[in-house]
Amino acid sequence: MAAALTSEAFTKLLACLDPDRERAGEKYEDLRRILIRFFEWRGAPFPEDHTDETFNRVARKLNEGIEIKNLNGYCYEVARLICLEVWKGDASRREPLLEAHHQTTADANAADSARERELLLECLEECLNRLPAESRALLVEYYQDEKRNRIERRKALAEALGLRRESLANRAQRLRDKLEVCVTKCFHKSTAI
Amino acid sequence: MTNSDEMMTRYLFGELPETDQARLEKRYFTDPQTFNQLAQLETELIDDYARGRLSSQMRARFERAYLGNPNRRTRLKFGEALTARLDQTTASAVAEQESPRAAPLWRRVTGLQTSGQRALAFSMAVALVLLSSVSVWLFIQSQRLRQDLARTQNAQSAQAQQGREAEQQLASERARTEELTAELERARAEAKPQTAPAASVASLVLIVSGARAVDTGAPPTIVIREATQQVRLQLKLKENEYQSYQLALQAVGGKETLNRQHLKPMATKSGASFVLTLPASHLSAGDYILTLRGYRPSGELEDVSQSLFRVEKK
Repeated sequence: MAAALTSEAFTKLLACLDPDRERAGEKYEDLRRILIRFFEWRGAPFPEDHTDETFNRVARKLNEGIEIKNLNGYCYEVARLICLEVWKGDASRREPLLEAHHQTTADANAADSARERELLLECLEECLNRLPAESRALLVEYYQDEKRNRIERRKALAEALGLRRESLANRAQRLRDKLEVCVTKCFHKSTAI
Repeated sequence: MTNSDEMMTRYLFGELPETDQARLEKRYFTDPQTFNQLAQLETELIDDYARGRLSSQMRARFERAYLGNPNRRTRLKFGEALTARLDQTTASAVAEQESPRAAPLWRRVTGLQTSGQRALAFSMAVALVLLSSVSVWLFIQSQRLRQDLARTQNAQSAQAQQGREAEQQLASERARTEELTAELERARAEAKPQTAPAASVASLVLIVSGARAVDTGAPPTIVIREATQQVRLQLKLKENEYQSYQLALQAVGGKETLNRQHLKPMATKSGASFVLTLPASHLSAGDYILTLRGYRPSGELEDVSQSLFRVEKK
């Protein structure tokens, strides 16, 4: 699989996403989020690497002068192809790594699952504290256990914040995803040998 | 659970056939709302699993999809940690609210040196407890009265609103009846001597529950036979929250077949319903999505439901 996205390729991609660089950056983040989830949902072993590979291939096409009208749709087709390659064995050199990863995880779970959970909770606490207070409050209120009806509670929260329910749900999900990335990184750092 | 949720659940569990899977993926790559819906559904499944709220069947399907995959297992562990942390926060908040505030006072009372001091402190504590009880009682009473008042006002305004809506509906029904009668008269006048065979109608009722219950059956199917001339789709709603609606019918991965705007539903005992009648020739075999959107007072449209159904031609 490919190395990280080159700066040149990244610039070309951004230009294709939107003429405004800031807006293009947002669109890139959105597309990246979709690609990572796509690979996860398809069960591919290295979603982030596959996502970089997708962007690399698309950027290469752009470099060759190919005009891409629907970038998201094009990325999907490329991502699907990469998935097929992964499962057909073009990325077989990653398979032993994957097995080793499984094995290590399984052993660690058996040996020290309590410590792992403790570390995870510590990371969660640390990452929650890094969030601004209002984001933390929104996360807690949105995802807390439903003492009242979940829909009603979220409706009331959206009204209180002056948001549409859909926008509130999207905001909460983005915050949660951000928190998950922070916790996962922190956890890997804590368990790294 | 809506049909759309059901299809998405099957996708997340890796249970959709490849063609349906690809169709949904194409959709969520180009439609951010579909992607958000899918991500939120996954989050809900994870939280429900972590809180032990999935049925045994769903639990088994969930475990098949999530425990065997390292990336998904990581997401599940994060979900478990987060729900545990949030539930702990909620439980502490409840316990804090329920703990008797007199306890520290008693500890202070028993810590005093002389019997005089103790007697004075005891009397003050009793008075304070009594005063607190009366204040709490008064507060509860006033809250109850406020709630009763709010309930009565709400009921009155809801009744008035219902009345207005019923009048509007009645007026539009009357107009429609008159229109249909006129149309019928015209048709009769134009009819040939030989009577035409009665139009064959295929019907399908779709129910929008509004709640994300877990259900995983096959999509409802409507069978269109050669003799079928018309298709009647009825969409039942439990909650009627908007003044008017938009209904759009689209073949999955295909073009929009129908789009009707500013519709008002018919009020029924269990909520409200829409009836769509269209020529059978407008539908071909395959999966369709009936999307219902509500108009907000600002004129913006908000998704209410998406119902998946299948058309079979025989």
